[in-house]
Amino acid sequence: MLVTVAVAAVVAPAASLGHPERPASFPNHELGSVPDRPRGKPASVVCRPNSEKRINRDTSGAQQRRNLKLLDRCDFRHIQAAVDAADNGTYIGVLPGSYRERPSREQPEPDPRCEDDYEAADGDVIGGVDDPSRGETANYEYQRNCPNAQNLIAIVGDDEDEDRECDDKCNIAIKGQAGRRDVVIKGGGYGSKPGAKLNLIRADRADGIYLGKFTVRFSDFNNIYAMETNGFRFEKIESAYSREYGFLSFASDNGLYNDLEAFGSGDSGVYPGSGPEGHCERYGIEIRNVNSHDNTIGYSGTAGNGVFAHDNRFHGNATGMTTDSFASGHPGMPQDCAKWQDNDIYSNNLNLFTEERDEYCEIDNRPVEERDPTKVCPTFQVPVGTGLLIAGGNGNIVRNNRIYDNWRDGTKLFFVPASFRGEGEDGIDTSFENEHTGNQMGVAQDGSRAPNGNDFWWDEQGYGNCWSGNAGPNGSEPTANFVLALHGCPGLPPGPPPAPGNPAKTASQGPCAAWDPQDEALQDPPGCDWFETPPKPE
Amino acid sequence: MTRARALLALAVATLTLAGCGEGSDPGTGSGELRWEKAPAVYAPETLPRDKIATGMVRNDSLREISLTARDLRLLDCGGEEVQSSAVFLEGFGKTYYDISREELPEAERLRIGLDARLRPGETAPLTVSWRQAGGVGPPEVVDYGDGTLPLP
Repeated sequence: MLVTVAVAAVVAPAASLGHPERPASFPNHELGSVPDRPRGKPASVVCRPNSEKRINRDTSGAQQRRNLKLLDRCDFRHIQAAVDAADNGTYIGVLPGSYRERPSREQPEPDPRCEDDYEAADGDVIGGVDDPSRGETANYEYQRNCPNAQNLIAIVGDDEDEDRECDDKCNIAIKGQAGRRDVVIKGGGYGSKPGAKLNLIRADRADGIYLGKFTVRFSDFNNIYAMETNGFRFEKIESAYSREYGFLSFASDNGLYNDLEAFGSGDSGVYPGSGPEGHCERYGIEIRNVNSHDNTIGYSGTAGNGVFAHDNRFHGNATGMTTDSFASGHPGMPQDCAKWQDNDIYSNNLNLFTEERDEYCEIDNRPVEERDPTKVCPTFQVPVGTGLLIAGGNGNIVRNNRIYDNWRDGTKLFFVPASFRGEGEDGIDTSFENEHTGNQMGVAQDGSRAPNGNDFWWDEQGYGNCWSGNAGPNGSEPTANFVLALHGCPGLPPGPPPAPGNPAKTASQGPCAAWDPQDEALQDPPGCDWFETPPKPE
Repeated sequence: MTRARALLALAVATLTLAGCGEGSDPGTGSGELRWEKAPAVYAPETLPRDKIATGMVRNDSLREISLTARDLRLLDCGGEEVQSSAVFLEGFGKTYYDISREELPEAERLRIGLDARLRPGETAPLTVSWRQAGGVGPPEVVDYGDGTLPLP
């Protein structure tokens, strides 16, 4: 008897080393809430030696007077020092200045003091045979005991008890006291460069964290990072240049991303990954008023569940937005139940996969440490010219967005088999019941015509996917690579077996899996058209 | 196409393939890896020089076969290598590691189709793609080291 084994059906590590997280679990959302903005005067004040000069130069009026008063109360030169001294509920005010956090930069990574604080990525690998190459990942204790090994500023709130909840460093607020560009938190750069850190600010089981009114730049991974945190608010922050992510939350809940700008990320500007498991009953993370541009991806979220993103702008990226079900180790798989509404998703035609950029980003040509951190090297392959990509996802709502001037596709939906996530025979493939309604396709905000190359792309796999009430320029029918009229909402009901999809379309995406930016022969794999800028549609 | 014409076409194709390579039988390939059925071939609209072939391969041997997609070579009739790529997947897949940062663990390489490990009788998806360039003919076989798989 022949045995069929999908090669992808091995179970991969539960830890994600791509996002260097440990195995994680969701907090109990009923025990948390989105924190309010801090009010009144800060309880502790951080300043730099040149803060006075900056206050006098860059602020005026009441804000200047207030900041000069706060300067008299300045207790700390480094934000981490203020965090270390903070009790629950402390409001830390940060005065204008450039914060390099030198004591944190001097902490080694890996830190020999925490050499035992790793855990093996677990998982039943390759037919039950352990895979020694999986490696280990720093665990929670590592972050707690050596907070500045990987992080420039760390707020790590769970003590030694077993509850995985915040005990100290809870409800901390770190807020700049002037314009968002008057307080700059600066990382050391990329790779093993002295002072480089994976994360600039890490909130780890730091429930109720508020971060606002500053600029962050130059992390080796995430500029802002919330992990297993119940209640967080990122507000009025500019994230500029990170090797991977601008803002990232993972296995966190009761979150708000508000009024943010993110650009220059090798992966994504904002990443609400492993989002709240509300199963379409609730949205645990809200993202609004975000301007994310000039990244490889404006917004992405592997298992980006339970996210409500509205009134944002995702533009000028290689791909505007993605969500996916690729990873086997991320909590919340497969991805489901995000709602994207009233967003502007446009002009996502930035090509970071050109021959010139490939050459620049190849490590054999230039070590990571020698890169100009303002020159983005993509760490994720995406189809250049795409507005929104759902790569395996269920029950998402794409509603009332303006999607235009994306030269390949406005939206793209294809499935990811359950076997790819190690779910085996009992797993259920994606993608199902994704609703696309009321979107304005190929029309700019001012009403002018700005067509997408094609409005809707679908591999024809899965039940319940539907498209209704969408309109092109002058109310015309949107374009699609399938018969749009057959798939009005609520979509086709489930039928055993689920539609297998169009094999030609599935195959057309396959060669793009071979992309390897470090292998000259695979920077532009034959058969993959993702890395060519599509012609501007007429 | 009538059955007779189909048989004729098949015979011509077989004769053509039989002229390729030395000591091989490209009609069914050589070695102990087989297509379960002839792979489907697609021509991407936007890439006129490129083609994609996808199908399932089966280990017909009595031993485990380990394969690395990067090592597969597509050869033309004269044995010249054609620019190509390969993955052991039927569609798109993606690692969640940053591949510029670290070596992928073996399990992850298997999961995302960079490697395949087939016990006797097991099958795996294989997608190969190639770009036609001057001076090289269309690929006739996938050379996997210990044998070849024919391409339509």
